[in-house]
Amino acid sequence: MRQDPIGKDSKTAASADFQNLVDLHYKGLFRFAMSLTQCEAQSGDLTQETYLEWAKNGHRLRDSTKAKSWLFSTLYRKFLNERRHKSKHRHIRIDFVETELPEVSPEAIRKLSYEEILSALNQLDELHRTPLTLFHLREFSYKEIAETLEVPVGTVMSRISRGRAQVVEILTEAQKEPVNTKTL
Amino acid sequence: MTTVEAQQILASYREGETPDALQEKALALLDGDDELRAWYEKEKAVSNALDLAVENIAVPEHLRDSILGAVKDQPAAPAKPRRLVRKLVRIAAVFTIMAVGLFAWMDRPFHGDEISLAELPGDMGRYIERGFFFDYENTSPPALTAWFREKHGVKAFPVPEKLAQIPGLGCETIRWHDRDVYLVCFNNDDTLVHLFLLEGAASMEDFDGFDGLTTEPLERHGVDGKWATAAWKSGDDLFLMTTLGPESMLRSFL
Repeated sequence: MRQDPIGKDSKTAASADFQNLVDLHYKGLFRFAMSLTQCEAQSGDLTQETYLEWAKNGHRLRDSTKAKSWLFSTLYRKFLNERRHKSKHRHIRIDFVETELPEVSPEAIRKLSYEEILSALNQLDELHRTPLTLFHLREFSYKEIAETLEVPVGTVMSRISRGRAQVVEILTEAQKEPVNTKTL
Repeated sequence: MTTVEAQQILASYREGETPDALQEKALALLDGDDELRAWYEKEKAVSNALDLAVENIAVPEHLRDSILGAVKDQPAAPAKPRRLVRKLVRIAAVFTIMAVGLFAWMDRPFHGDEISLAELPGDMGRYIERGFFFDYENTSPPALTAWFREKHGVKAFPVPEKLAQIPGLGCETIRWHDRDVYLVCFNNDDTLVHLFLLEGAASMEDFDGFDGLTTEPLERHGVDGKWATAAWKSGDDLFLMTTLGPESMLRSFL
């Protein structure tokens, strides 16, 4: 039986578009989800559910250039909706000037491993970790992050700044801690 | 611009990208301020380290295939039809609207609408869960309600006093059964609170059933049934407040 060429072509095109959208953003979405949940399985589910949502409702988005922003904010909303309790994260108080970085040299920072830096990032409270991760995914400008998270631009700027200062504070404290001290 | 302000602005700037006006001003301060420049060097080192660390978050190899596989069974998003098809669709749509209008007129009730207000919380909850973009963003609740007054001629959008004390996020106009529902979103420590206004709800048949102020949930739905809702009347209008947070939080705003 001969298939309707219009239907076939448009279906193929839609499928190719979708695949392209997956290729472009699934890694960024997963990494963003990891920063929110810190759980690989949950992050995989969130990423997949976000794309399922796109498959169902993405065509309603009038401005196709907003697809990336739509995907990230949908994943974020899904995370917020699924979260039953507020995550218990370590809250680091930054005294004196909020953006003041603790004493640590740029050289010392460059010598740190990815694991150490990610571990510090994961210890941040969600309020700061979320915009900071989005910023370092290098997918969005700070203005787009504000749009994605639905918070004012000024708030995003201060959270990025304070979040980064907290990361350095955690790294500095971690380096001060004695490792494998033996008592004779 | 103070040093702290400059630091906050520079923290959101990526070197190599075209700076916006604000970032340009902050970058200009680097020339005459050694302390700020030293701070910025350190900030860049941290920023680069974070860039690399985030880029190195391992993504499961099977994830891409899982997504494509899961979506394969879903109906594809409608692609843009060809011009002729679009014309035919438009013509068919006009006839359909005329036919529906005619039947609706012939079958109209003597007064009021047939749509039940009881559907409103569920429909609005699903709308929120699906994701949307604000028509207008502002942290000031009065600015958000004023926007509805200016753009949509909304007569009054009274926000409960305690709710008006937390920051707003944005507002959105939602089309619901040929009526406009006005939504203002608030941010209560990262838990969203939504306040909907349905103007002229008094014309709906079950409006009288909503008797005064109540914090009893009208309907529980959404993820794990965690939505809490409260509704109240104000003249001919109906207000609905929803959140995915606890009901006690909702009560605290009333």
